[in-house]
Amino acid sequence: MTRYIIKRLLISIPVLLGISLVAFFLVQASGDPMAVYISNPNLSAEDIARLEKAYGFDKPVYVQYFYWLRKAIVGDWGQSFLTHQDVLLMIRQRLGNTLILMGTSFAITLIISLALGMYSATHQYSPADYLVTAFSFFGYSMPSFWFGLMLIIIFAVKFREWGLPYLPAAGMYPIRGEPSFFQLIRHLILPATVLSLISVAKYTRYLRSSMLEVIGQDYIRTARAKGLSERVILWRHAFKNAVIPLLTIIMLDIPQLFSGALITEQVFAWPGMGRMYWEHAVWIDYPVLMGIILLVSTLVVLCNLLADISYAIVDPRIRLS
Amino acid sequence: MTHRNLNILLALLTILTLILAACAPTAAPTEKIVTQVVKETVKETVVVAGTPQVVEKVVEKVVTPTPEPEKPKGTVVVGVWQEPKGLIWNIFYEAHTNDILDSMYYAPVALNEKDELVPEMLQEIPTLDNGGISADGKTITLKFKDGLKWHDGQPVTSEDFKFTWQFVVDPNTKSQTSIGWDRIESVDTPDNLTAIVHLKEPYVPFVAAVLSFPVLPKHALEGVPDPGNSEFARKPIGNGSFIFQEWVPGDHITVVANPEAMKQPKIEKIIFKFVPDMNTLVALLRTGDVDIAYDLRELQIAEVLKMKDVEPYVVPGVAVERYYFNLRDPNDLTKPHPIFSDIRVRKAVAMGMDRFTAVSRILQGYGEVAVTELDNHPWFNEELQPVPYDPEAAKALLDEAGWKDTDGDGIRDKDGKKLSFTHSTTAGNQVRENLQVFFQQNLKDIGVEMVIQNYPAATLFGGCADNGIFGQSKFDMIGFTNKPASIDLAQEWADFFLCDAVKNCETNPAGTNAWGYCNEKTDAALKCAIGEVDPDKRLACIKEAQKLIYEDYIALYVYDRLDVYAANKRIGGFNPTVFGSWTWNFEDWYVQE
Repeated sequence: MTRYIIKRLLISIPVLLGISLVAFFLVQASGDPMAVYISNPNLSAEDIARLEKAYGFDKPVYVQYFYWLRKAIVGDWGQSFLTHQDVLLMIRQRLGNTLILMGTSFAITLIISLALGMYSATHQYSPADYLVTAFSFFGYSMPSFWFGLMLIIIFAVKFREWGLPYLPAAGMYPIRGEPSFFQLIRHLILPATVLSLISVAKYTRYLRSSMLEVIGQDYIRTARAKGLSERVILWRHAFKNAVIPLLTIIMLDIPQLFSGALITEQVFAWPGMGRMYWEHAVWIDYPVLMGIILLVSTLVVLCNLLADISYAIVDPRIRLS
Repeated sequence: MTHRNLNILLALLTILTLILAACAPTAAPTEKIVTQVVKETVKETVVVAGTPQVVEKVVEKVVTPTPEPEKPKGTVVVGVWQEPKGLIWNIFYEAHTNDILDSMYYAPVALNEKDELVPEMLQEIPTLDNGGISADGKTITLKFKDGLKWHDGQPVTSEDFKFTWQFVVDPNTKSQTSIGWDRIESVDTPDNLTAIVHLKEPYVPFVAAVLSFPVLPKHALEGVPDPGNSEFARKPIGNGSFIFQEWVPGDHITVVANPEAMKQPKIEKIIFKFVPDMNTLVALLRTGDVDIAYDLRELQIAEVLKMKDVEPYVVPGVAVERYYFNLRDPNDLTKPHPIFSDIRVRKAVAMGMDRFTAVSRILQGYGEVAVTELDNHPWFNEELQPVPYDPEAAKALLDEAGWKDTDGDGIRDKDGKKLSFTHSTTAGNQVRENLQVFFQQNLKDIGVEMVIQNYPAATLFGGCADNGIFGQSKFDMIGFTNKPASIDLAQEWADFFLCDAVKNCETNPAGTNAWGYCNEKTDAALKCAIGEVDPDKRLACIKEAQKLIYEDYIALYVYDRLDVYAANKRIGGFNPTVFGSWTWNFEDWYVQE
């Protein structure tokens, strides 16, 4: 096992290098970081030429890549062209906010889809099963910018106008007044609802089909024949086995907790990673983009490894070598 | 002189001295005064038998009450859709960053409610008449007001002004803009309140453009290695009406009233809340969470009008949406453009686009058909009228230029080449795209094919190295909006049309005249607009240049954008102007409860 882990970790180095190379060239090819300055009327031609030189944009792209790589390897992820701040600091400032939002919605998603998925599987083709399926696809196909805005208009604007208890529309804490844990929960409700509704469909469908497969297995029939109660059969025998493939999917979704939700953060003015990525992507601020891409791709590689290891732990039939 | 007269004179002198002496202790203007009778010991010069003597005597005087200065109260929340990248104006130069900095900094000169230049940190505006500007236009003398202080208590001096110049032009600062500041040869500071600026050449926009930027504190920024990444960039020390309090990244910036400000604010606190999504911002305006919003779109006016607690403010804009014709072949810039190098074609295309209907229908009347780049500006040449929509005249011009539909496909051609061109602007802007489709149809009616080819902003405005459309002049017609950064826009305006500014990636990669326009007469008029010290002659040159550019049909000015603001009715004193924007009078804002 230890050997396997070391081997996998070593393989991940060229993988990450490859990702960084592709990402760097893609980012570079998508536009000119100097455009932010060129569209600014108060910059003279000389100013632009001077800045281009100062940032090294006059060099070929591959030279810029090696320059970036040399520093990134020793932990210096560079400075944003826009804010001049260290990229690592900027990520640290936003990461916590994103984890709060994404973690909450992930937990809600898991709880809801567990309940719905189990119910659906045990009541296959019942009206309730169809309802769950319809509901989950409804959420899945909902564009988050529109759905978020609707929730804001209903629960933040209309409820307030009707004199009902209302929810805040934007931010993590009230604009006027002191931040508190209670306020954070209130501010979390709307964005977390949007995010979980969208991903509930995926997990519900996975769990439902996985459960259905397990329920049809011989050992479940054996358990029934032994006269075990339906409850014990479902939860001790069926669920434990059905959840194994789900584990992989959960593991692979973990990097998302860190990368944030671009549109939802934008709509709800949540100061997180997704919004930061968007704001810097518009102006090709590649040190920030590369920082986030590298962080997330490292997590993807690690979580893949974790998924494989955890799989081996819960399912003794699987041997890693 | 008789003895009697001398006595009267002496008596008058005595009274005068007494008044002067009595005035002295109340000179400090910030002192709180209530109605009271004060007993004071006054030193008096009394002339006894011809010799002046100083005696002390107790006098009673009534001190007239001045209204008690009101303590600033209330909080105003301003919704800001774009977060500043940092808080040093020259390094993070962006309009919305300067808006926020305006609350924390005074500038040497500022604009009043009529958009007239008034002194702010200076005692008076330097002009030719008062000797502040030398006859050759190369020396400008600045006299700063006494008693200005940085928020950390240090006095503001002429050394700070000199430092600001050095800071802006120092390449290590990574300053974004140095426009105007780079014209300074040297600055002398004979005393703490005087700065004498020596320019390399006469540069008339200096006073209105350069002096409207904040002065930076020398004691806080001198010797800081990477100022853009310094603590100061996140926690600035200003000298203005409000003091920086906090910046929560991604969330808000808060400033609080400066009790020692030259112009006392009436409100206690301003919160600049970052709301990146316009629709969310409008929702927050409606709930009253946000008091003031700016940069709203024209089409949102109707939505704001429906809110009972919020009032829209609409100001004629100086941001002009325009389309430039490329005069050079985008595939080979040494050759003239195959279609647009002929002025008759440019004129026909301009006359073939129905901007009047576009403004009334697509913009629902919120905007005005544009004439030149200087619409709504005091320098506007009133002789000029908007290019008319005249498809018949356009057709006649195209016929005359030899473009005829010989193959019957509805598109004119000449020597086997179709009269077809691409039109590029920023992708994803709904209003722009609607306009394009509308004009495309207009042009089809006169036998011209307009192909829409839009790009993301970063590509459209990209430079030489990155295959930028603007940078490599790879367009037939390019559309964007430019909003001048200051009321004296001569330089930035001229940079679009000067021969030296013609963009060429090999020889002049930093040029901004991407359309390759060069006309000797226009060049001379524009240079005069930048260098002529005599205000009347200068204005004549500016009007001349406008006319020449207009008559050369180098650009089609589509429409003047409106500046749309909204403020909750509980906020008083909010009064946006054309050039002063909404930030010229933070001190006048108040909250009605």
